Amino acid sequence: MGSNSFYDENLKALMALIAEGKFKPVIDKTLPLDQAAEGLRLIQDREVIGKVVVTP
Amino acid sequence: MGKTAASALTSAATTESNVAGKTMRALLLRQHGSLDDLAVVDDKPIPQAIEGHVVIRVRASSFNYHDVFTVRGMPGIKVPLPVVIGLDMAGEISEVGPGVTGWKAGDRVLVNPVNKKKGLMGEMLDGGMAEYCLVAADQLVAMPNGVSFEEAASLPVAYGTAHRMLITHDTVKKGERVLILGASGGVGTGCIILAKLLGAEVIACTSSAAKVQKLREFGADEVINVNEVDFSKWAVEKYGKPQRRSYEGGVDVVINYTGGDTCAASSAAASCWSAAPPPATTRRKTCATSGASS
Repeated sequence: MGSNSFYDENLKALMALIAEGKFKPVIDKTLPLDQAAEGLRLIQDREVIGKVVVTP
Repeated sequence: MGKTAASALTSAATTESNVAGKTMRALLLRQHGSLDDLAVVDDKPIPQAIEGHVVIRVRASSFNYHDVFTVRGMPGIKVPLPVVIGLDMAGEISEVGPGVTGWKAGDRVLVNPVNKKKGLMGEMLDGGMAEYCLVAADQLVAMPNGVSFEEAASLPVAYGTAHRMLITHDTVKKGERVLILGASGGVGTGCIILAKLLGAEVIACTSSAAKVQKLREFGADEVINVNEVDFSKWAVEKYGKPQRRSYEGGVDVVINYTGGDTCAASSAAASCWSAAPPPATTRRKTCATSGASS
């Protein structure tokens, strides 16, 4: 506790669940960097479900 | 803009990435304000790996509501501007700095957004909305095969928080009724999926009629449009009034990371109100209590 390793355990566990096919993060949109600001607007205006991912 | 001068310095070096003086594309916040204050630039210098750090070629980064707060500016948080926003990122290591062991160029990594010395990536330090990012080695988490960069980058703030709330804190047990406020967000969708994995019955709340069907598809057993239905009255009508001296009636757990005036209603709906701890990497206010006190 009190260090990043605590939180790292959550991230490792989630990635293990994804690799096992038990968990799939909800990604509503994947956008290029040019459209990143529009992606953040979608979050701000709550127009998406789950995540907006940008691929720089 | 500034690109030619910078690239002239690097004519001797021809490796694909991380050449001193090279520039990159980045989503930059120059001043606090609105989303109009964000701009994609192409003349941001590519960072160089310093002691104890690596540089990663960012392959995916994801947004959180926290990024909206960073753009607007938050009282008490002095962001060094200009800054590349974006807390969550995943990519490949492109350069390893002095003193770093256990990592090599090409390793696929997810970044824990909390830098122990300086604060949050994408706020106190340049974040993931750029081609490259300088990251302290102790923030790296190795990505296993079978996980894409997009999936990994979607995880830390939102799904990491959901995982900590439900799994680390052992909040939800098989067969319990779990009511989730703000179920459409990153934390919320994470809570739906994880609660279903744990074998719970999930009631998802949203303020958008358009999202009702989608939330069912992600696993919610019931979906409440809170603009039409009072969720605490709904829970009492459907499951009975929560009892003070027993765990009967109501739902078993209300997941409320939204805070504000939903707290009292949460308490009214649950026989054992166990709300969310504050997310590790956000400063949003929550009604943070746990246990069966209410």
